[in-house]
Amino acid sequence: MAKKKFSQKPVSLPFDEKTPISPDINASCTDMRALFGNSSDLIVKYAEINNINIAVMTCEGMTDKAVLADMIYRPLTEHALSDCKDGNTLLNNAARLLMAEDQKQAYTCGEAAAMIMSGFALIFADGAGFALGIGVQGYEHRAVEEPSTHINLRASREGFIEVVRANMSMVRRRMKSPTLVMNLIKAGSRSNTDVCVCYLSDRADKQMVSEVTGRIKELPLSTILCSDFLQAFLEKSGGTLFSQVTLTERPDTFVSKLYEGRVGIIVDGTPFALIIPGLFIENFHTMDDYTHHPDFSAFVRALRFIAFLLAAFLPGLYVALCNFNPELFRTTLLLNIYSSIQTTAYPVLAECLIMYILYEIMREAGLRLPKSVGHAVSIVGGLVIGEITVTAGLMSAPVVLIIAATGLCSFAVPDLYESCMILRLVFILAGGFFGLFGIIVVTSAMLFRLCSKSSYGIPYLSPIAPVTLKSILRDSFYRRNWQALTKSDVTVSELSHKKSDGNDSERNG
Amino acid sequence: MKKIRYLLILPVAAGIFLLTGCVRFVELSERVIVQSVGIDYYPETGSYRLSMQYFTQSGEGGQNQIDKTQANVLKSVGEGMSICDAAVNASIKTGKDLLFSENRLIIIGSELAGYDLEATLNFFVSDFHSHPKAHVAVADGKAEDIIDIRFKEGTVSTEKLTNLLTNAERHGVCPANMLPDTLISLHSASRSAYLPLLKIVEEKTDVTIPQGGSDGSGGSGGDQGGGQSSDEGMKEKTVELVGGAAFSDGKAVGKGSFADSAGIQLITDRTHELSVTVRTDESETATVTLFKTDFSAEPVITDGKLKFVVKGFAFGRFEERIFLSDTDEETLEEITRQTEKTVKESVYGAVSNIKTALGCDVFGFENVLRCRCPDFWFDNEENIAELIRLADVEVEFSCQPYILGLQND
Amino acid sequence: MNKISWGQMTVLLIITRISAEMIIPGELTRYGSDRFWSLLAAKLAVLMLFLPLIFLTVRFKGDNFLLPAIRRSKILGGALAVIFVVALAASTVETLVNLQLYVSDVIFDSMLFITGAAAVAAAAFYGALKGFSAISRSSIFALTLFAVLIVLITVTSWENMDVTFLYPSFIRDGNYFMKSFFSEISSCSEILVFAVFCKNIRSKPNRSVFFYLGAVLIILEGLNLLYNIILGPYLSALEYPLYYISSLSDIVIFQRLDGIDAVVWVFCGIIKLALLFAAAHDILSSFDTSPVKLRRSIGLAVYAASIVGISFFIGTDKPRLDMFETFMHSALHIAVAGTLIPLIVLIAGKKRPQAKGEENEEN
Repeated sequence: MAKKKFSQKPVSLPFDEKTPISPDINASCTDMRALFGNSSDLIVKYAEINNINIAVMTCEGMTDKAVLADMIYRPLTEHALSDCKDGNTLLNNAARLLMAEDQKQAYTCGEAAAMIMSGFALIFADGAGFALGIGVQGYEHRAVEEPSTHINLRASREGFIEVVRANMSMVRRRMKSPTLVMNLIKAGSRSNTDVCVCYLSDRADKQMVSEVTGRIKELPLSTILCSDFLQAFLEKSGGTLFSQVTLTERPDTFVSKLYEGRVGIIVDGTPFALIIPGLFIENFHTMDDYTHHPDFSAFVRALRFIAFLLAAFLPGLYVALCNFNPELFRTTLLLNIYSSIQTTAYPVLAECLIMYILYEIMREAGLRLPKSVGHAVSIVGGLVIGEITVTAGLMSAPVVLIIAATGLCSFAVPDLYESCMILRLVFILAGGFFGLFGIIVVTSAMLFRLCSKSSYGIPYLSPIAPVTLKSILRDSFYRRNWQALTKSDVTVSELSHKKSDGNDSERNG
Repeated sequence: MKKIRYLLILPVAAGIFLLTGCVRFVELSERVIVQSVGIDYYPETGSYRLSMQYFTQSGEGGQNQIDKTQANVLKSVGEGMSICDAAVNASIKTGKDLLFSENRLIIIGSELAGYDLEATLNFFVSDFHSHPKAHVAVADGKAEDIIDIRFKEGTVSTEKLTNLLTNAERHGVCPANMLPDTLISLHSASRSAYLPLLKIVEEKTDVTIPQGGSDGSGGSGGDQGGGQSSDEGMKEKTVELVGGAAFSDGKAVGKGSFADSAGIQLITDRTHELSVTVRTDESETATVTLFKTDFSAEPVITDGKLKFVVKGFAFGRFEERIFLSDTDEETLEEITRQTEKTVKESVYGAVSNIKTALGCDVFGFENVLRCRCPDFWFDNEENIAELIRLADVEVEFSCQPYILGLQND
Repeated sequence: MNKISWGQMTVLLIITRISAEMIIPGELTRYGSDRFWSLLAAKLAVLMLFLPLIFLTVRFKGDNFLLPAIRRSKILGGALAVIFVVALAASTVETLVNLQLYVSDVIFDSMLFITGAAAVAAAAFYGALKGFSAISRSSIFALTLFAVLIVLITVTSWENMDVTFLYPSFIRDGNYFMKSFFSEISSCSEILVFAVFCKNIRSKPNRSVFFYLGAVLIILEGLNLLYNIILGPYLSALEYPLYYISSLSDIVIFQRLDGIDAVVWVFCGIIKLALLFAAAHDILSSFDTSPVKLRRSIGLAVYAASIVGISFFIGTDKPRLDMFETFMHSALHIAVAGTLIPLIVLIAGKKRPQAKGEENEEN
């Protein structure tokens, strides 16, 4: 009989988190150590004040040592706490004495542990049935830098970092309004990750806010390491090819979306914030659109839209036309294509699929490699795959060009890259087997899917389908100038076509 | 529940994918791209002969580049009891599927022109790949002989002939009929059409590729016509536009001269530019280029008798400026009058020769009559073609030419 | 229940109607003004046919159109529903057969009938599952594509237009006029769609009928005009005039637009089919009140499969197809399901018992 190597059962905590903090300091410390499983990063500092034993518990690396010394150790030792007869009084007086920004009391071991892990210094005193938590957070983190994605020319250079509070401050700095509400929620049964739900109380739909908050509170995840973990749970459909949750690394984008009545979510440990609901058309908008001239912005938006269409449809269309409807090509183009495919080894469909897969492999390889090696991948990709395959007669030049051009186009709309990648494959197959007919059948099905999607009552394809003329004219394909934008104000909930009489037409559509 | 729902979609998706095997398609590389087609008819055997120029890449120094100095075409022929049959046989000989999507020229052999033109042309409409904007022309002889000639100009050999027809129309010499125009024209009451007439001539020129030239176009599966290069005086066979072929009741009924062709083009308002040369006195000539020509026909019915009044106007410019610089006003007026007279005669001649003599109404008189006098048209619908043929035509034309550039008083 | 605006319904009805325009039977493409008059007369007749439904929407506001009859008697309601579904199925089969024949004629000649029909039906079935509002939103894209296509064709065909092809005349061929008239009415399956989904219109459902009829009349007459001035007498010889015209259009990127034209029509056809499937689904749902959606989905799948099967049976045999077309062109199914049934419901239907609150609200 094979011996079982690992237990399949989850490791249960040796200690109940709801155990109240014992008045006996030794017992408390033992309980806490047991709760932490004698973890090395739990630091316990013992001292004695007025013959009362105290212990200060911190977590290694989560506190600022200088602040800890200035704020806790020095006042406790230097100031006379002679009138303190017992632990309770000592902690109460200490609470008044230590003027910390963040001060809490913990009554159970679980609460105490959570506070320690959040960078609090916990003071236990003999005879006190609780612990005093003083916020002395000071952990190492990345400095505020320019975001690596969603790079803009004229907008702010600040990007979110991994620390939720720093991110909150960046948001607050841009929206100094008392209506900006930031709710910190602990999510993840094990990781206890700080998740901040942000919204403008006078613009966001209350129902949407409560629904989002409720979903975060009921997350079935034990650990949350990244905002994308939440994404699937915040989408009603459980996540599909086109996400209804927008991701941003930019505080300015985040704030602008909040102003439109959306709900923002900042997750500790990730520089990517979530915005709900996300609309399809927003994938073609950038912060720069609002800094450039409206006409130029409209042109660039149109370019992005064309790039998306090309990225998704071009290879499929090429295969479909080659195999079924070559008459649609212009004469010289057809003759050139005809010439180039005469000596290639594979049929057009196979050529397209091979090139597509090779391209995606190259991209994936280049993505996660060190920059120096990444260049080598580009050379291999550009020279070897591109040049040699054509001259060797393995691939035809138009296919190489089309796949390269589609790759380029998909980078023009980075938020839809993944969708484009999948769609491209689907359309290559549909076009290869069924020609233009296959492409339109798949497009119809895709459109039905997109049109049926709605996020918290807002149709995903709004303001185009269903048509909301005011929004279309205001800021969809063409952004109006700032004078016009300031005259009319639109919130995202207006796109739900919800009537004031409670008739929920188009909502949940 | 969701699993069961997916199970519902699965058979549908699987069914469609399984059925992909039932979809037949021909790879582009397994097709031949037909550039021009010549159709001949042999009444003694009752068979059709389809000769085609199809694209071949004669690249130099790179397999993906087309060498424009070569004819880039091969020839294929097929014979059969119908055009479709002939096309199938041509395809079998070539070993590839015929793709008519780039077919830019349909040449009807003179023998076939005597039979129903519409039935011939319908072959090119029945296939959805076919290019609808193909030129239609008639050969003065065998169509295959014209297909045999290879030209150097253009990406492919056919371009030379299509350019020839387009250019002729641009200069007001002969209307270049496309397939749709011809079919529309053939559906008039008189089932008329007027197609450019092409003839092989021997000329000292450098535009054709002699047989056995560097392109290596040996013709696959088909006969090659006579040798294109002549030993005497380096003359080569080339193709010329010699006028037009008039069709009535769907069949060729006669030929039209350049003047007739120009007249037809003027009345149908398809003239972009027309140069008219007139004699000012015994030794001198002057040329006026007419443009912005505007012709309209008006039906007049008097005592049940039909007459068309064709009115035309054009702007123009006097050419040959050195001669004009010392010409007085009177001479200019005389040139204008002469020009008007020449155009009038050309239009009137076209109407007399083509409409009245051959019964070919390609002037749009029927449309005009139906549009302006619908009652008359409907009352005489049965013999409207004959009535139009017998109708008198009155031509009025005036032009307003000017001297190009700034003039001194 | 998801509701849409009357404007969205108008778009939906327009798409449903114009998708039928992709195939004009060869005998009905006619050069001249007869079709102009038959279109005009047919639209007036269709307005008359819509009247019972319009009154129905006023009398039984927001109700499923069969519900008042079911309230009166389940047998009556059931019988009417069965007749309606049969008419709906006939329209669906006609649409699917036409669509498939069109596809194999103009874009994909080597495809098996069953493959194409199954693919189209699968997409439409998926659309029906996604719901009425998803289909109605998709129709906006279809209409936009259609408008762009027509503009492109018109602009690029400018040189081919000849106004002398137009001539003033009244009805000249009575037989043709009647055929064209009934064919127009028979292709108005949107009346069935409206009957089922009028309850889903947020407000002023009747407005969508008037606007749709006006818009469709303008579009169809416009297309007819385009065919006449470009093709002239050759129009009588063509089965797909718009397809032929689009093949003459060169938009530089593509040297001809016929493939794109076919794609747009197929898209419109799929939307119409999805709508017809959704209508059947809706009727099925009005009888199956159980909260289990899956049962209805399976029902719809069976219905869709049957439609594909019947279409295959009819579409692959010329005599059968001719017989079916002759029956469909009599427009009997439209008259019965689109007018007679609503009329019966209007007369025999029973109003929903009003709750007190509702009464107060109305007051």
